[in-house]
Amino acid sequence: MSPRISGRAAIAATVASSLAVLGAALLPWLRTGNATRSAFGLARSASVLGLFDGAPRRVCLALWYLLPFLVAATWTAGAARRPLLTASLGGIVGLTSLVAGILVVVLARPAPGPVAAIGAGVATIASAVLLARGTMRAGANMFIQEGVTT
Amino acid sequence: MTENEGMLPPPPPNLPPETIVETPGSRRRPAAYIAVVVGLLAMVGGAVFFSRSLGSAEGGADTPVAAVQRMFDALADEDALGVLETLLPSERDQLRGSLQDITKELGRLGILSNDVDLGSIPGIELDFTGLTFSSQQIASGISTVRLETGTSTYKIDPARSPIGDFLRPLLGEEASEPVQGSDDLSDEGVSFTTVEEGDKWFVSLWYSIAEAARREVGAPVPPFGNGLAARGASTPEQAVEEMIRAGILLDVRRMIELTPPNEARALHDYAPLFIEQAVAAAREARKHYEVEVGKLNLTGRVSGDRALVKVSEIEFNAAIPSMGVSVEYDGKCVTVRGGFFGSDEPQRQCGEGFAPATGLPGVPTPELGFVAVREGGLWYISPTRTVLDGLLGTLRVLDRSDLEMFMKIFGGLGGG
Repeated sequence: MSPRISGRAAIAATVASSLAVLGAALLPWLRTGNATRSAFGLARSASVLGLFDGAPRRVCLALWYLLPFLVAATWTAGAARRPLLTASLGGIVGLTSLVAGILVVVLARPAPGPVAAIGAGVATIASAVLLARGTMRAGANMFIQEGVTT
Repeated sequence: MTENEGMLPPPPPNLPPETIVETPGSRRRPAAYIAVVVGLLAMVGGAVFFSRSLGSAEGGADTPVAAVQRMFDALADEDALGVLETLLPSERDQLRGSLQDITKELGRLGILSNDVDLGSIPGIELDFTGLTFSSQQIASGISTVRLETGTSTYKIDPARSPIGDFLRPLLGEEASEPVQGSDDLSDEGVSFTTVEEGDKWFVSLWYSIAEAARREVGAPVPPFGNGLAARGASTPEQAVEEMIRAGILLDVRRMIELTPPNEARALHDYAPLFIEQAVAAAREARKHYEVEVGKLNLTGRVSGDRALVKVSEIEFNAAIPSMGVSVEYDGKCVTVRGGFFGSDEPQRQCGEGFAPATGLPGVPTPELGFVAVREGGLWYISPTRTVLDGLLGTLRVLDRSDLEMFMKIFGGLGGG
């Protein structure tokens, strides 16, 4: 596989798995009675019930609400061929999803959303790491050629 | 400078010179530009979502009717979290945590099933159809929403319900039959009072109860926001001591003053409607008994804006002269005098705490206390939290054998 193809594939994988994180966040994360809540609905309910008191928890909540923005930023960075920025944003997205998924699986009942979030989070982190490593190792070759040949 | 130029090492010297002539993106396909534009638009959307989500952290609804409608929607979905979200934050905080802990203890004792989950209670199906509401403003920021029309249908299947294995045999065969039906809610006079906080409306249980009582007796609308002012104490121990002494003297006014201004807002608002009658009744009642507290030592454990204050030492004398009965407690022994137990001889019982005096051997003494909360830098006594905390403390020290003993005692009494 040429560096060019592997670089593009790594960017695409990071962006795609970030989108999967967003998709996982929209799946059911908690069922109470007949009502289901997405990750954002669950975060909102938890916040309303005062479970996000204190600065560290509020920062976590803010980071979670920032997830759609971060995924959009990952997409934009990928589309603009900014590999390191894509990898950094993807890493944050993946880590946020992974931690949130594990927390909900441990503290609440398992549901499709958090399980999918863990999977998508791991995939995003892995592709972001590969992208960052590839960028560092290949240096300018891979991505400068990208600009010439496209 | 591009990101690649700034962050990556320079290209190796053997790279053909023509490959670095053009900058990245100079021949980018239109699809790439579209993708960037789509991404930027999505980022704007994400930023809007972020700011709106952070702003909605307190819940509530835009109108009084919407708040009540949301509560009924959550009830129909059997969504306990959703119901809590519609409540006034100060009332919601009183229930949060305690209900779950109490449910867990009831599960341990076999009163409820031990895997009961408040988020999903099996065996109960509830639905509402055709609900229409009317709203009436009581005062600025306070409205009563009345259920005008609607039907409720319900189905309760005790076999699937989370009744525990201790309670189930006591209910008998009849109680195991499923119950279902429907009710026309139009003539039931169901109404809830909602309160505006920030720019959102919440259902208030306490205001609903107070407002229903006010309407029942035909009292005028109280001066909302100008009721009996809260007057807290500088320490949790002082708040509890003042509450105990006010309780002994039936000083209703001081007792209300010592309740938290936020949590007991409805009580403070509606107090002017009944305080004079209550004070007069208390004055009359005080003529019939005498109480003297000799020693009162309190110990408090503060955790943030909440404290649990326990009575570590107390000595008191109480008497009802008209009945010839008196009770004396010296911190170790309680002595009861009078013809109360069919004998004129004083009855004396000693031991740690009051548990031995209950006459139920082996029942441990729960760690009970007053829950004080800090609001605006002063300490108040929270009645709801004190009751719930006391219930939880009592449940925690009980085990299955205690319940079985209670059943023998009270079952025996019931059987004649």
